[in-house]
Amino acid sequence: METVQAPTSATMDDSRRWKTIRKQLPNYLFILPHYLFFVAFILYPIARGLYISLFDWKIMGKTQEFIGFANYQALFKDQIFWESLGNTVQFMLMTVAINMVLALFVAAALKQSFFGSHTLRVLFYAPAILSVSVLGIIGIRIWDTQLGIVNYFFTTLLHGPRISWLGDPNLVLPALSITTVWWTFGFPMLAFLAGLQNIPEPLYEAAKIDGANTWQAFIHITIPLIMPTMLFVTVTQFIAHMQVFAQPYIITAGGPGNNSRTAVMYLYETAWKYFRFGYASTISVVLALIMIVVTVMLFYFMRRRTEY
Amino acid sequence: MNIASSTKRLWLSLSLLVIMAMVLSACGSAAPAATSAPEGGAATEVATEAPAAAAVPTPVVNAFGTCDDPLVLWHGLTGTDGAVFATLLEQFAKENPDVCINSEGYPWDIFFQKYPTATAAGQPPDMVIFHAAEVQQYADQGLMMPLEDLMYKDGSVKKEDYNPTLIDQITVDGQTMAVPFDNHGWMLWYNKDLIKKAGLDPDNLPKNGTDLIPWAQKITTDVNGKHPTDEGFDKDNVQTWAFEFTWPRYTVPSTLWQFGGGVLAPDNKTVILDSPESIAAIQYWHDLMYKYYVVPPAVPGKMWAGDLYKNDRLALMWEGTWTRGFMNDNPDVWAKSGVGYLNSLAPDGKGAVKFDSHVMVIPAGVDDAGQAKAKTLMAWLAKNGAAWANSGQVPAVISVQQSLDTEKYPSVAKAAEEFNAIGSTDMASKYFIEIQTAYETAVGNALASPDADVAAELKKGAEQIRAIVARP
Repeated sequence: METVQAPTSATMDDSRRWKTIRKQLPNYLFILPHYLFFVAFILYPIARGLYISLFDWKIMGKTQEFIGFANYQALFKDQIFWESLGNTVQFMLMTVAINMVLALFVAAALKQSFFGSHTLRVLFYAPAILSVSVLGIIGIRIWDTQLGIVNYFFTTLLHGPRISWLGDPNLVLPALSITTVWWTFGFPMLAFLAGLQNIPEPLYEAAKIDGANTWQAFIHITIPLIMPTMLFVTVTQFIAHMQVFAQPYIITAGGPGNNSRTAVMYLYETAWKYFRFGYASTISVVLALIMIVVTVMLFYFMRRRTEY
Repeated sequence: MNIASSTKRLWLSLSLLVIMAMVLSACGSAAPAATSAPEGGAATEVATEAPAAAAVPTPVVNAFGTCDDPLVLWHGLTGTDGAVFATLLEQFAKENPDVCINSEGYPWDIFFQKYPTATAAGQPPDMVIFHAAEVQQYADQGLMMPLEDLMYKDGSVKKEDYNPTLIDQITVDGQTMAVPFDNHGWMLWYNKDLIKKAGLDPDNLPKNGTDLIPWAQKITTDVNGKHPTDEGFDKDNVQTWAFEFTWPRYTVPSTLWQFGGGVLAPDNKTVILDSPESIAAIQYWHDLMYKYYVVPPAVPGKMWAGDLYKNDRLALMWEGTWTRGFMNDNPDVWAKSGVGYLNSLAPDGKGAVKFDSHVMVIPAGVDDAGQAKAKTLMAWLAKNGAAWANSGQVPAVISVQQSLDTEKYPSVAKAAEEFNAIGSTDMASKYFIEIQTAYETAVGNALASPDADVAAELKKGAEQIRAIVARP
């Protein structure tokens, strides 16, 4: 007589797991292309960069010399790296701050519907669609000491002195920052506009009934409720502007002296002008670490003040 | 209805903007580096010069002859150089029907991105042309083949035909890595009319730095016609300058050597950028700019010397041999110009000038067939270099230099004489580009403002270079 063995809980679990997998398989197949690209073009380069940073890597070397953390030790003593990192942080702080404040105020103004408001939204966003090369050429034309439009107005209308905007160590980063704000300002403005449009109108009406003026409503309703957008904008702007490269590369070539040389520019030069690929990888690893730490801190501090 | 029509308007506006942006992008150019000179050295970066909008970096691709397997040649000879070089290649193709060429000319910064990456990827061109100054660094990275056996041992070209300083510069561990094609570098171009107008003799220029200062003060005038020695001279509105701090890549080494200083000592290891002689050299330029007001301050955004010169606003101009092309395009300017050895700025009148060379190189990894074709072209260009003088550059072979028609090529003949008499090539270092960036930055900082401390900036730069050369 045949005996049928009752299925154990383990075999039932296995069969349930297989059923689930079979059911979910199409979903995994849909996301598979993304993960293949993610592994090939993001994860692998990150791992490879970490690996190369431990070597004195020569572009045509058949064997590479392992030097452990020597590149990291050298980086901490590298004056140019710290100067370029300092320039990057200054540039980032200026650009993010101006972008945020300006974008928020313009978005608040453009949230209202008035004649031409749609056109203004488009016009404010317009510079964002320019390529960085075009921005660079415009930047050179704007700030040129002899023929630049800024000096033209400054000297002819205001009778001021001819200022070397890109030649003065104290003015070069603000000049680059203002150029970048003009270029990138559209994106945070749109994000803020979307965030502002999500704030329920009755809140403002209730505040108005309670006697709050426009400024008080802005401070006590708009700002707290727009914090999620602000967090998003701050983090994306921080990451984008810490990686600034093309604007100083095209407009000032890092000068005068090292005054507008940024960290990513230095990374590029180290790899492709000096052929120090191991050291360049070290710079990229350290930069990535700095950005990860600051981003986590931003999330931590800004989330505490976020109201959903 | 309102929402629908607003949305429609918004999309319409956005679409128009996108089209405009695409048109603008197509018209715009990526100008990755601010360069001061139309040709010459590796114009990868000039932080202290005017950030000019460079032309669109479109490769100039030319095919010479017809065959299935052309020699692929990459170089940075564009503009006047490129046009003259094309005529040489055309002539070569006629005389060598079995070798055809695909010649690709790129702006130098593009070239220096393509060459190492293509070579590392195992797809190098058969031959490249770049500068002698960069040979040590590229050889150290294994990016080029030694040409000792292929070109020199069998007598295809002879080392004794070339300037010995140049041969030293392109020799790495006893192996000559390249074949020189030309010599190019700094020389003095001067506006005779402007000098005469100031009551001075263009045939009797200052012989040293001490004599230059009062001479230059007589030439320099502000918009009111006042000289720097006059009461009320307006230094912010100068009409005519006596002199100019041109491309640091040539001006700085030339001046340092005139004063007995330099970046590295002849051993290529000892850093002397902060030596008293080097400090005196850069301090001299600082004084010309901010004490005597005879040279415009060396800050980004200043007008290119050639434009000042062309408009009778500059008397003495240190510029490259390739300026001959500029003079060809402006015969009226050439008619009032003189050309000579670089004037000495040192108190004792010591002469010195930096020159470089376009050298022919076979990248690592080129197969035998490619090497054979490159060898044929290199040997031909070395022997037939006289026509290269049409570009203003000096053919590299000394016997060709000596046979040049001085009436037809006055600036080329003078430059050849100058380079052989007082010329030196730049340091031979595997860290060349990094050291060059460091000293150019230091000098840029030293000359950026009247308050800059020249000695401190050069000391800072020297410390950086010491750290570089101390690497194993």
